[in-house]
Amino acid sequence: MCKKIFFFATFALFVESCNVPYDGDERYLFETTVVDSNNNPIINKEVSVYFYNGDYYDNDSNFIFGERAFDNIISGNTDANGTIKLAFPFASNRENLVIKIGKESSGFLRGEFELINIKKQNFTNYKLLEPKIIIYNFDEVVNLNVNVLNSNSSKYISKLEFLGIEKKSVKNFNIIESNAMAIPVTSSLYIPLKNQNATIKYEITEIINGQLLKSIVEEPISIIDVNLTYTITL
Amino acid sequence: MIKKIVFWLLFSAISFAQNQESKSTEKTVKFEETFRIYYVIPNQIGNHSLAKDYENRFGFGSKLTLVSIKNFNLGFGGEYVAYTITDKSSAGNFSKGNYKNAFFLVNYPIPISSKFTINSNAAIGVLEFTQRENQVRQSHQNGTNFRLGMSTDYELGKEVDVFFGIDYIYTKFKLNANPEIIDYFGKSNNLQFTIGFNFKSPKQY
Repeated sequence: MCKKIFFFATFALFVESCNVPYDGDERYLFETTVVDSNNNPIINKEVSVYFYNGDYYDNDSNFIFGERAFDNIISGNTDANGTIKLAFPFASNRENLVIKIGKESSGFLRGEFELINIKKQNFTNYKLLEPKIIIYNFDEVVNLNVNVLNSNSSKYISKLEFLGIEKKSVKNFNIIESNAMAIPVTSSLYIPLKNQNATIKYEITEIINGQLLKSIVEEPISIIDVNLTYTITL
Repeated sequence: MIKKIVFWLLFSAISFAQNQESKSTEKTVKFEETFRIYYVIPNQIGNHSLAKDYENRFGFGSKLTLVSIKNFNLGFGGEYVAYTITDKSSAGNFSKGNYKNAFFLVNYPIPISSKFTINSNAAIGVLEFTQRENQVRQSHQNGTNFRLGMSTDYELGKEVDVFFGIDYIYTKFKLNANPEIIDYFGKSNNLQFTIGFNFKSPKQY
């Protein structure tokens, strides 16, 4: 009788479904150091790792779906050196992950900085190292609105870039390049650091005799300590 | 899963085998049953996740020896230990961990007096470690473990002893990870205490 009880009791310990959301036989490591604009470590900043399915970000790094589509696998805080290491199993049924640094004060969805569209292939030997993430305060930056005034129907601006120090809030690890014809840019918002000399770089696409001709233009711009509007006239 | 099925098929075949009489006049091979059931007090030591990120809640185990070859008792055992996660920033956003293992064991009893016996034992086994959140399995890890230990048995009656034991259990988890963390999440060292009862079968076959 004792043997039978022992047999069934111990056997029952192993009778469970093998399907689980996370693969515990692998652990992926993420490491970064979070600093401010003066390269001082930011201590006790929350860093969280989320898994999600599909491409929930468009090519402009805008959210498409809300927080409920994300599974928070692990969270931690930066140490006295501003450094954090998070080790976590990968989701069995999720292909992408996003890592949020801090929390944006305007709402719970966004972090102060986010690493998005991260996949397994972005890890080297099971580790993803982001050497430094700079978090700027809002009083260190201004808004720069770049507008395009175009009265010419045969040409348009196909690409627009700000070359300078910006308060970036997103790094996209797997940008989807589109082969479709570029949509004309009519305006763009940047958040540059105050009091710097920077450059506005744009690509003009001109349609001549059915052919697309492209040219690059770079214009210097001085960023001061108030919000700016910069206009490109074609 | 296939390994578990094969293991339990072999185990059940042995458990329900017919009695056999040894042909040796010295009876070097004896079919004697002893059955232990016990409470487990794990004590994870060292720098690894189970020691640093978890706190043990409770555990229990059972062992069954079936055959004795020149006084070495051979058998099987199983243990279950439940843990609570105390550091989610290291272990992950779960609440509990469960350590389940089954092992093949050999022990050697050394009578000290008419009432006391020292049992030394060794075992090798397989394990599954699962992490849970809200009673739902979230992740699992497989592995192997090796143990050495001893227990002190005090005879309460002809068929039952009470015992106190101590085992050192080394666990190696199956894990693919960066070398920086593979030891921390891939191994554990446990100095485990057990207390329980040993039921003896007086029959000799």
